[in-house]
Amino acid sequence: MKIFIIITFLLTALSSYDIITPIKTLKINKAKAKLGIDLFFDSSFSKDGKISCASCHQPGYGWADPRKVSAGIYGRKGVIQSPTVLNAVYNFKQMWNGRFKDLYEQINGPTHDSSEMGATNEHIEKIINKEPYKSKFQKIYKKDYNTYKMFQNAIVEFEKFLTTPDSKFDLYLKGKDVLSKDEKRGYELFVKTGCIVCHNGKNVGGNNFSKIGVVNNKKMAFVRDRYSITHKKIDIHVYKVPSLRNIALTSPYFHTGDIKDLKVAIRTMGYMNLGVDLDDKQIELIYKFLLTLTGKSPDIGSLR
Amino acid sequence: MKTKAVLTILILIITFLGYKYNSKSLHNVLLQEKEVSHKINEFKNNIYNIDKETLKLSFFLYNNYDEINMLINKLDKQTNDFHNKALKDYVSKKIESIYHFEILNSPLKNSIFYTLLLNKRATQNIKNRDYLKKLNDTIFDMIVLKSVNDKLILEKFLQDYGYFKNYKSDDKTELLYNAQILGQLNVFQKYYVYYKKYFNAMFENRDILNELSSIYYNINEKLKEKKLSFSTFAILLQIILFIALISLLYFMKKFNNEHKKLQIVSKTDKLTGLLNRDFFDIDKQRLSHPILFLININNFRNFNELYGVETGDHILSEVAKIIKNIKMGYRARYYRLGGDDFGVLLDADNIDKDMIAKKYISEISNKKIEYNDLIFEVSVSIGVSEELPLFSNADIALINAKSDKDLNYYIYNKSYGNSKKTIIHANLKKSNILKETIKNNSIIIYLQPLVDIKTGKIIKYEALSRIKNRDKIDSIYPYLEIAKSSKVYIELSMQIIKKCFDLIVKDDKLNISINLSIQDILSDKINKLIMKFLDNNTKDVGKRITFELLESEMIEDFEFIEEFIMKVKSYGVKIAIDDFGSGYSNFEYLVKLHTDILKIDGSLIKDIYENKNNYFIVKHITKLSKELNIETVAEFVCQEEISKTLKELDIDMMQGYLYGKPFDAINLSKDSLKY
Repeated sequence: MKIFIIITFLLTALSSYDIITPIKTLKINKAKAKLGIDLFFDSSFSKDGKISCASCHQPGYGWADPRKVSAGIYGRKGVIQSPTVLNAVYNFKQMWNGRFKDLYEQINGPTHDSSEMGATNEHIEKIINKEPYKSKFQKIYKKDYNTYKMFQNAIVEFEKFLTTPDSKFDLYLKGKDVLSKDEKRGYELFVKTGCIVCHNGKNVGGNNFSKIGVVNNKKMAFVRDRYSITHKKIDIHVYKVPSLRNIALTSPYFHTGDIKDLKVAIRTMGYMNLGVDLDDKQIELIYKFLLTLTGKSPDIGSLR
Repeated sequence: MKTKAVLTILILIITFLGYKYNSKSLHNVLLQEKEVSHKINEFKNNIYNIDKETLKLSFFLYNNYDEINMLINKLDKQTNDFHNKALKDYVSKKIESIYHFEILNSPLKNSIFYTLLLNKRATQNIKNRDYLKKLNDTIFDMIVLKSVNDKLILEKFLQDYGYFKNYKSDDKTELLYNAQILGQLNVFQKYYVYYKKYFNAMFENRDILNELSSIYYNINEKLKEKKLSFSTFAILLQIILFIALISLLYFMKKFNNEHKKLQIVSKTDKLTGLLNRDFFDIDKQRLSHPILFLININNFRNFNELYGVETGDHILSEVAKIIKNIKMGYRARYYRLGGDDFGVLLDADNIDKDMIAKKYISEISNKKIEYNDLIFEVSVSIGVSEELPLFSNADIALINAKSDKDLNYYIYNKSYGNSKKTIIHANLKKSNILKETIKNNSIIIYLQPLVDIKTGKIIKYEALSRIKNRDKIDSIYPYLEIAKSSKVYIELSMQIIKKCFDLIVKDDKLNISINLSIQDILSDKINKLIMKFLDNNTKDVGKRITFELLESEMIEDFEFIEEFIMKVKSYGVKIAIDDFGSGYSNFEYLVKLHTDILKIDGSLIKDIYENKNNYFIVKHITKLSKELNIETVAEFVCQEEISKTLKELDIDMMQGYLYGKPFDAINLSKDSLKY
């Protein structure tokens, strides 16, 4: 009886609302964003002239990298899986360990990293003060000398364009679409198994830090976690909870890129962080729900 | 007259020039100050919003984290405005604690939830009844621990955790099931302490929030300079104006004194538009036969307290209007003489004072006052006097009218005026003695024994308070009423209780019964004093204490009182109800207050051997108490006959002159402690 009362109590506490909210397109400066596209796809900014942002954030793979880890200049291998740029503007921090507070800071990471683009600010500024960039920048920023800051600004403006509104689930939240029976049950499971405790908000994740492997710790490589920044014991194996929007497009999964199949990823997550063995039927349903989070891909053509 | 005009013009010119010169900087300072206070408020507000949101995170099973991230971003930006390292450190520490709290919050919630879910299937997997019971207990502990910080329950949880960890069974399903349970409990056991740590850390070091304005000004030197230059100017200007004013006053003395005074003293009361007290003092001297009707609104304080000061003000101005509009046929002047005191001053010989007073009372109570859709009915009491000093005599009459249940106006007359004065005088004297006593901490504690009715042995002593009045020793009762009205009551109670506690500590055999009023228990100070004493002393000290609750007051905050009683009872303290059979006592109270002992009121005891009614009442109280398992005490036992009758009635204890008069606690000897 006691337990029954407690369960009812917990279920009432469960019924909080607005846990996942729809996203919208952001207002942007088109000219800047257009410039941002050029910068994003230009490999001349890297040290060996072969790597651009798009090398690891590939539009055809959900603006992420299909490889386990990305390859940088001179074929150097990265240490962590490249996350998607889609909806990154909605994340509360950038990078797996959240060491950058916004997209501006984030650009410093890969451009300067010796195993990614290996560029310096001087190198970048040299390029943008030559044609064809020189006049393009001056037209927008109206200064004699083009700075690295403007370079960041243009790319960020473009990244703000890379959002995916109108996913099936968002439309459902707005009352403009209906979910199938299975998708609804999938969402219910998503809530009741506790996924939603960490994956919530407008980005269905990307808004808090969490320890991976709280219940069962699978053998995984734990590189560049929060601990590497804070050096607090509590931050060992702690990462930013990734967004689940467009998750079906951005295989492989986890910071290690260990798992290619989304269903296996769901099973692994349940085992590691919740201590449950989800059965195939349950996984299938959650999988179906996750598919509804795939939004409308941004149409770059509309900017040109 | 000429000099005055020149002087005034001079002041005006100085002021104007000074103001024009400094107005710009003044304007800027004011503007910036407004901005700063706005910034500080915003900052604090944000901190509170973040706190609210974190508490929501902790309470809800799951919640949207976006809101708190937005607030944190805002806080980050706000902090930069202050350019202060200490504040930055505080904020970054707070934010870090929030992130850590979030990291621990979700696994902890999930582990509780999953243990609950697993428990649903427990009976299918586990046959061991002990195991099932332990599991239920553990879940309960987890839920409690999540919401409170209880070391005992944590210890219990860790103990039970050991049980699951070391659980052995031959049955494979059982082992498999236990492994799942253990997986969840591991999480809870591992992270709980950190969870609490970071939860608390989120709310630590808030002192800095009180220093925001000084922080802001320290970094804003420019603003500080401006402020300085402005204030030097302001001081200078003030000095000039002050000198000017003094000289102005000097010149004014030459003119008609009274006439000038009236120009300075503002004539009327702002709120009611009636003349003020200063005017009254001048007017009354002019009249040949002044009569004052002092009108006071009954229970005016209630209006202010229940409906707010605005309502009170409205009622005052309305009543003033009503009074002004009542036509008496005499020339009258109207004054506001105090908070809710109005004065009507007539100049007339031989008038019907009763008629006038009655007319005021009925006219005012007939009028209804409307405010904010509420209708108020106001009644007044009136004191009338034509004897000098007018005001204080009318006031004495008014006090009489207030205390009289039948008559709501009084006309001052010398004889009762005098008797009233003696009472006031006596009260003043008592109040002085009381103040002295409290100042010197010289309350004297007397002890009176309570004896067992069967063995005649002393069981304990009731502590009674005495006050030294020159050479006499007075009972405390006449002083208590004064203490309550002059706000020294709690201080007095504290001293009495402390002295009783000292006695308990000094004699480890003394059992003592201490009187407590409901007001005492509701006092935070006294509550803390008692709890600290019970906490700091050996375990059985509580067993030697009885609290006698004086039930002369209605208990409004029952829950609070009950909580207090349950707390002290856990130390072994007994609860007695004093004076049962009088005042507000009833049997419902007895049960609700978890009474151990009941003291039957002396009025029922003193003639019990001849008054059949009282005998009957006491008999039934005793019988009911026995059924409720409550011990009974009879007070005022001063004759053999009473004692004899009480023995028939099966009462447990007796107290009274027959068994021992109260004596000064200093004289407490080892002998008297032989029970």
